[in-house]
Amino acid sequence: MKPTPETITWLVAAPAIAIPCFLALGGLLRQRWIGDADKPTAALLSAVLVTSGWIVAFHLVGFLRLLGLLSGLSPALITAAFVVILALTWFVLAYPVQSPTAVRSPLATPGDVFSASVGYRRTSRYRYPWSRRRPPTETGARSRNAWSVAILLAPVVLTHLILLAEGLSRMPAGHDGLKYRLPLVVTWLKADALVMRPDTWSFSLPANGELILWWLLKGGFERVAGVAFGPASVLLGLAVWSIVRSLKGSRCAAALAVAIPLSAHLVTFQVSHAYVDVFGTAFLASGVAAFFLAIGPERTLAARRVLVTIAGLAIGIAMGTKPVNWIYALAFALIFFVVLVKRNRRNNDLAFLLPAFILACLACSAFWFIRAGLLTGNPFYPVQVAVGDRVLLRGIRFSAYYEMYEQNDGSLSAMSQSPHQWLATIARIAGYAVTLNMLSGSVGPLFAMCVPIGMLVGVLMLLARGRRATRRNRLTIAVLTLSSLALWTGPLQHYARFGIIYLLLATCMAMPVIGWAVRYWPRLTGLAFLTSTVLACALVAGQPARELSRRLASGDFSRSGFYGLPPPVDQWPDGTRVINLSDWSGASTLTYPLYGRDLKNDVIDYMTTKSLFPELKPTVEQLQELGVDFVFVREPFRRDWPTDPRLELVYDDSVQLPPSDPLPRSRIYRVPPPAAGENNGLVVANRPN
Amino acid sequence: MRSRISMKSGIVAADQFRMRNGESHCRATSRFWRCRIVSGVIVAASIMVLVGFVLRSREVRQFYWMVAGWLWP
Repeated sequence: MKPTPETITWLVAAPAIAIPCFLALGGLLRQRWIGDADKPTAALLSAVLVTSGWIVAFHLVGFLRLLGLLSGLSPALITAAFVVILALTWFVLAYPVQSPTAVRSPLATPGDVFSASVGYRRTSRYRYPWSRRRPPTETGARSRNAWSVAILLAPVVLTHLILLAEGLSRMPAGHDGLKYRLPLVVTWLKADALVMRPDTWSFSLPANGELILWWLLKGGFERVAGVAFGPASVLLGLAVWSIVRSLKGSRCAAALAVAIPLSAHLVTFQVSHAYVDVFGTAFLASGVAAFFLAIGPERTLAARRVLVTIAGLAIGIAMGTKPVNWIYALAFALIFFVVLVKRNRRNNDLAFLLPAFILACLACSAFWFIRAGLLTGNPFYPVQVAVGDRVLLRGIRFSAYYEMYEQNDGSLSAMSQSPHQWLATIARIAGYAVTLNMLSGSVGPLFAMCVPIGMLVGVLMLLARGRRATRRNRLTIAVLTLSSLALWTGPLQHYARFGIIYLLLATCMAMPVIGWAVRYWPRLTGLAFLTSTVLACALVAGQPARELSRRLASGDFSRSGFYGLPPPVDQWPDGTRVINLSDWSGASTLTYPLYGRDLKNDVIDYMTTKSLFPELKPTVEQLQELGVDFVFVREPFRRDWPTDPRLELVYDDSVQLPPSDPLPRSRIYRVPPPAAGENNGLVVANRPN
Repeated sequence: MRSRISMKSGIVAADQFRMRNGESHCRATSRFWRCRIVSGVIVAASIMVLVGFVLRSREVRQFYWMVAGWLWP
């Protein structure tokens, strides 16, 4: 897809706002407001700033496009305006980062600002007058700690490098990604705007995560789009580190806490697959980490204001990523404001903090609500808002989607209807808390061996402390963990992917206890945790390593080779319209692959196809009315296929491939061109192009 | 200093407790052993879970078979 002037505007807008946010604000944050924070915490807050700047830029341009204000302006002018904004922001915000004692230049150079942002002082000249000096520490204990942290995290880093390499060696994958997330991005690409399709709920969701995919696909980096959410796992690790350190956990405990989610299959799977759960959860956790920093007793008023605003930005990104995060965001915000008021009865500064938090949240999510409100009348679309049986705002009743899931698994509400089943229900919730309702390997051996017992002892210790516990952050994390467990097992129907935030918070809650145990048995626990980490990493990295070695051995890194598509799909002229009429459980995942090389085909997504033709048996006239050029089917073929003899078979894998080839067979049929004047009234709503 | 407690004998470590918290020797010794026993129970339970995971987990068995198939195709 060739970049148009509008595309260049989009490509320039995001970095124009995000880079100054990262470099200048990140530097100021580190040097002026949270000088006592360690490097991972500073990196976490800078990462939240850069992502929020990125997203706000996209939302800004999206608003202007939605209101039609950009249509009359020259793309070159808009691009130039963003470059000017970049330069001005740089010089205005970067200036205070430089030391007043520096004599090299009146303004900060890129090197100065970058080194300040990431927390390094390159030379002795860069001593900032406002930065706090750290108290001297025991170097021996620090270096031992550093080695323990490095040894514990080395298998995790290696695993993620393998996952990254495997993800880069192929095209984007993942069921939801191929079914609707990437097709949504292609819809945006073709319309060159953040369009919404209310006819299909999955094309109407808030989509902060997809903005990153969009940016990458616009730039032509399709292969990188497959691992676009990999950095989210790093952010998630930084957030966990920061929370555990806020709870006075040791560095070893923090490293172990980082290793637990980053070696769990539930999380690592999303490093190289197009799912947005880890992306959204990482920002939820970053919001929690920023709040823990903000409520620290040593914070100044200015620092608290900045940190609460950053927490708002992070939670806003999470809210704009997935509706599941709305409910968590609401609960966490309530809990934190209660804690804030409780701890600072006289000077809680709520008159500033509350509006700042809400505005920061809206800065990163309001676009999706306003867009949905303007187009459907329901700002929360596709989620239906109802009180009892009375529907206030029309949308999709998502609980209906879990009916099949519940039939297999048993819903808690149904189980709890008779009083004698309450005990069984509690036991079931405890089971979910330990396994996240997944197979044992999905949360990993580290979680299983550390977290349940750590949580149990942590709760007992809090109970033993009685009223004194209310002053401690450990009570706050316990309340957050238990409320996230309640939300996940209740309204969110204990669907495993939606409970990643519980996994993180439970890990953080358990870690101070585990860290305490490590102090008394360092060698035994060190060996056990290292063994467990290596085992967990081997379990999650084994299969991707095997896939990568197979791909390297075969030398086939092509798009069609990975998706198993016939060659004609990549050779059709631009805008060829294709419909997928395959009838098997994973047929919907062919939607994105069928866009072909350079994403130039026009594919009718599978959900629209199923809504138009539930039996997948359209007539030739109906296909002609939709403007379909080719029909794609993959085995198992239906007996009555093709339903119309006028469909011309133009490609058959059974003829082209040798019988020994294990690939599933595909066929392509050409739809004859329509006779003049035919119209059967079938319309696919809001199709771009 | 706190991270080195278990490297020393109980008496010396208890004296460290006493120095830090201003407790009597007897009370500090009892506190040290109580903490050591409770943390030992936590560690033992964790290790039992790990052993159970290695012996019983379906994922681990699948991993063994995958590695075996990889090494001996």
